Amino acid sequence: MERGASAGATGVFGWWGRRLYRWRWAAITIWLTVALAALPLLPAVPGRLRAGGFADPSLPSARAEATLRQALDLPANTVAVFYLSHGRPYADPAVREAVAQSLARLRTLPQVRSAIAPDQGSRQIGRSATTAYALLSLDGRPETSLRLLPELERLAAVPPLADGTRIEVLVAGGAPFFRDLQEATERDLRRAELITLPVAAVVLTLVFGSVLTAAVPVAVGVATTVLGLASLFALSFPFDLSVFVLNLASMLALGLGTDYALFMVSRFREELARQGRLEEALAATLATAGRAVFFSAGTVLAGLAGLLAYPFMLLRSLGIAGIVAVLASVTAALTLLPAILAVLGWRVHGGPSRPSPAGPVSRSRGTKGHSGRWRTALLRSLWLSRDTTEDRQGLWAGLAWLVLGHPWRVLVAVLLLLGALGAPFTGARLSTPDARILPPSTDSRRAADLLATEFEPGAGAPLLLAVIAPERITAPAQLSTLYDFTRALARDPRVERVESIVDLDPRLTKEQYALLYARPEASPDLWARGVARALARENVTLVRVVPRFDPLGPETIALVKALRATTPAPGWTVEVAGATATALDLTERLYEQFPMVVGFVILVTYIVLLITFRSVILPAKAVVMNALSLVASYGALAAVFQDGLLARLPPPFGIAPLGYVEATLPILLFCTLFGLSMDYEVFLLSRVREAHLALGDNARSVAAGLETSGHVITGAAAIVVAVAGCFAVAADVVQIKALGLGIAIAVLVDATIVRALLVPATMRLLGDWNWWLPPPLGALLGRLEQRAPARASDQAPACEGTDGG
Amino acid sequence: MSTATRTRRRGLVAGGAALALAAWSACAAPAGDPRLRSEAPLQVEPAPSPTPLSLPPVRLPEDEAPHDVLAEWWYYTGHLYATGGDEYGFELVFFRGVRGSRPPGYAAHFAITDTARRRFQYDQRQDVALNELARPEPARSPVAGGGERPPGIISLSPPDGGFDLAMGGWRMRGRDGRDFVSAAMAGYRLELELAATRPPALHLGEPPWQPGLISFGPAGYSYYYSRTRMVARGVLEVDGMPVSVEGIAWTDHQWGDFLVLGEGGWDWFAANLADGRDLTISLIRDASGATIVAYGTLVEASGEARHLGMGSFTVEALGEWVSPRTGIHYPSGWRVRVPAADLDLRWTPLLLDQELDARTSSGVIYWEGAVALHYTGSGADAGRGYVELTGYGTPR
Repeated sequence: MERGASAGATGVFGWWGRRLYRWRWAAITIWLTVALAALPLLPAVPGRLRAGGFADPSLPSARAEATLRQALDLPANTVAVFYLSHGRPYADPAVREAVAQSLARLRTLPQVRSAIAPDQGSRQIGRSATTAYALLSLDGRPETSLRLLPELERLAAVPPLADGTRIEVLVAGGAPFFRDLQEATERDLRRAELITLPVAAVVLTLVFGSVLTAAVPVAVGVATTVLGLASLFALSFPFDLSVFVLNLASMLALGLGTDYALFMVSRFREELARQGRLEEALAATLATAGRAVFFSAGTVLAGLAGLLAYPFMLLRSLGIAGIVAVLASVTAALTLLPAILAVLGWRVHGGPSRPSPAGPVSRSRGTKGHSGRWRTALLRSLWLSRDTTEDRQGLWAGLAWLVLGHPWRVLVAVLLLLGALGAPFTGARLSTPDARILPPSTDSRRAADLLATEFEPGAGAPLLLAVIAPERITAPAQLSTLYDFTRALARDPRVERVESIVDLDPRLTKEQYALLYARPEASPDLWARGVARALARENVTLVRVVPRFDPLGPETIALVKALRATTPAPGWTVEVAGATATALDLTERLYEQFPMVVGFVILVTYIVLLITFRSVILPAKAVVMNALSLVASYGALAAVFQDGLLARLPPPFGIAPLGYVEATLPILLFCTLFGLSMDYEVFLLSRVREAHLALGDNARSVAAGLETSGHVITGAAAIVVAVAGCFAVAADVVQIKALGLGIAIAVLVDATIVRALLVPATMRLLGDWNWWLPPPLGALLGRLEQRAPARASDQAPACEGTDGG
Repeated sequence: MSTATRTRRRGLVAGGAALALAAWSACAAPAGDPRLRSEAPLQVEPAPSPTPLSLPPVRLPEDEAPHDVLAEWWYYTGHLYATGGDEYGFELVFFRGVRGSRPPGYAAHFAITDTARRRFQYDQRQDVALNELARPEPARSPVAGGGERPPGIISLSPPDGGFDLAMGGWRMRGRDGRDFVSAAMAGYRLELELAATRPPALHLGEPPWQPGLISFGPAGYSYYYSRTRMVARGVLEVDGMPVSVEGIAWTDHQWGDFLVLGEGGWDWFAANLADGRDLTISLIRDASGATIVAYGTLVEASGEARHLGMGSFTVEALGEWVSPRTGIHYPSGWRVRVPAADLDLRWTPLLLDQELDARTSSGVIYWEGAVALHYTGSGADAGRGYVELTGYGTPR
């Protein structure tokens, strides 16, 4: 392959490399124009994004919500206005008056349908007596109320009292949650970008030994990000896009953009050193690394395409954003980057613009004179390419021989280690996000914390039961059944309290309820009349169940399942809505489709690898290795975000646990990482195959493959780990943190444990089976390979281009 | 393979296995109560209705204070006479309601029937006692002389018994028949000292209920006592002009786990007769208007209370008054006969319009007014009284 690449780059990619060499200034000009045109659009992107994204009317909880909305006009859009009267109790007449005035102002908003003051509702005054909240019902849905919030907050604000007492006001609920989430994700993105670019630049400088060369992938990464975000702006018109797309797209665009650029620049340096002619070197780079980038982007796209199968806007839009980011990365890598390389020429080596008499090869290693001994030693041991298939050279080959000498021992130890890393995931509790994913300083998070400490753990997320009776619910017989049902609920150890039309007071008897609701609309008991009006109509009534445990905890989830299985009496039905039921339904729906998505991604990846490696075993092995990296990443997610493994670390490394694993993360990580980490597998096995073809010895080819791909994979992985790690450290939103950490860990595991230990061990154990291909399949692939180049004007070697290194 | 190698391998495998097991066990679910993770359907069984605890006899002055019950009220009505001869009726009532663990809710009504000016004026208050317990603890708070009290507390429990309620500038307090009330509204401000002249009358429901305890059947039970004749002295400010007043007042205190129902309503009659006797009659109606509970109490001049059971008296409406505001039709004017007490009385409202629309406080519309009493046969003045009528319809 190396010979093929060096002898004259062939195929479409080689042709494209030569064209780009000639059109290099045109390509750069076009990119500059596009980037400049796109720049003004970027600030508008956040405004085009939508919060939420989990709506699915077919979910049982959504149906229950619809029942309640239809029967009782139950508002779907409620916000809580918290009043924190520091130092003075809410009961203080001056405080109550100030709050009453605040609510009176809020009632003037046409979108406010009703307002329940702290002393009108049930348990809306906190334990400290200085915290109370009012409940506002708004028109529309939370996602559409974001624009109302500034005005709502202005009217809710309370001026200081006469004695200087300050009453702090927090607005929380669906709309403020989405607003806080949107703002926090934007902050996260800005902060992460500020960190990732310098970090990537440092890693690249270490890899290339040249600031100028390192600047190339960074520039390409930035251009990729600009193109990707501008594309998202355009796509936000035909599609709803989630607020999270910004972070994922930026993370992928920066990571992949610089990753692909690293492969290309690295290969270009090799080709330039080997061939000495810019045009040929560029053509060879495109024919090898460019082709590899193209196809590896294909595997990433296959993974991300799995997200499009979901009906939820959040995942679908993340799939779109990921695909956009990958397309932008691969476009930049195959157009802008080669053009820049063509312009830079010999300067990519970090030296003068023309070759020195010492020759190109010495230039490719020529970092000693510029950077000192320490860096040279580091680079030699970790990064620098060994353009050879010789045995036992370098760190990576040495490591390979160590593993090859003890394959069983390494295999068992690594499998156990990965199993141990992944083990926490077996106890994972999956759930959809709540305000705990937000930083503690946001209003939504503060309100959630206040609810937990000042009120009851489940007060902010009661289970909403739509109880449907066969007859009018206020008929004595139905009231009696409802009374029995709510008493059964109250006896359950997971229930803190029950609110219903037959739970006004524990002293009231069935007979008294029958009297109270004989004519509910005219009941002389004010409280009963109000409750009946709010909670019952015809044969439907709302029963609110405040759980004793965390609303997203396993006890409350089990309670929802138990309630759905409960029938108060023949002819009665119970539908469950509320945050817990919604989280349960969403999680179940997400994972109903997940096996199909996994199957699709694995099948596509397997086929691509089968064609690439001409082996039926290696693709299967690659899939298993990838899965093991993911398992480790999943385990880390559970250990960190559910069990609080890093809770005691100082900021910004300390991560407060959520108590659950956000349900979309495993799916998102699978779809993102399966293709991403497969890259490294492809690069490594391509080099191994190359060496196997040259040497004909399994063990030596593994050592050689590991050695020759070592620097590229290490560098590429370091960049992705650094970029994703920056998001993990810098982000305030737990979801972004988890995504960054998940990607960083999976890539780290893949680039270290899997690549350096597991792959060589399994390659050694499988021996010649590694390259086994049933003859009919081999013949079929051979025919395909012969047919493909026959259409091109110049042919490419069969296995060329799968290796970027 | 050497023994050392095998040993190292075993050690490695064992170490890895131990690591995996440790991680596995660390994330395994805690044991705990299996019911917490149960997904089995809830067992819905017939739930027994709560039964009231043993109902102790009335104890005064302790029972003058608020109780942890569904409903409670302190009612003052009376007739006042200015030095110039003008006559006024007055009503001041505090209602207290408790539902579940919510803080007690209060409502209050204040009304003046100004016969000289042919004017009936009323006002209302309502509030939630955010810092008040459902069952106020005795001696929990000192009784401040000026009516000042901690924020969020309407009722104070005086250390030596009695009651002390204040809301929105209105106040009533008392112990052992020595009471004080004050209230103000547009055009009127009243301050009265009241002194009982007779022991409290414990009203009697149908036997076997003990004195002071009334059964409302499925709607619950109520303790009920009255101080039927209290001497009232004080100041009534009319349109800014203070007038010294004297008269007779009647106070009711009722509490219990009962519902103020329902589809029907009730008529309540109270009279301070010129012969020194006092009479009260209560009629409770169902949705059809039929009387389902009727009881009364006759208090002799000596202070002895006599229970009047259903059938021992008759009440006949003599006319009707239609509210021009709500359109509700009320009976107006009554003939009440108590043969056993040799009483046949005509009850005539001092003003026809004494209707209170209290929907923004206690949620009801009712008629409560001062009446003049005459003996049916002779037409002679028989004293003064008050009548309360509820449940006569919904506003148009």
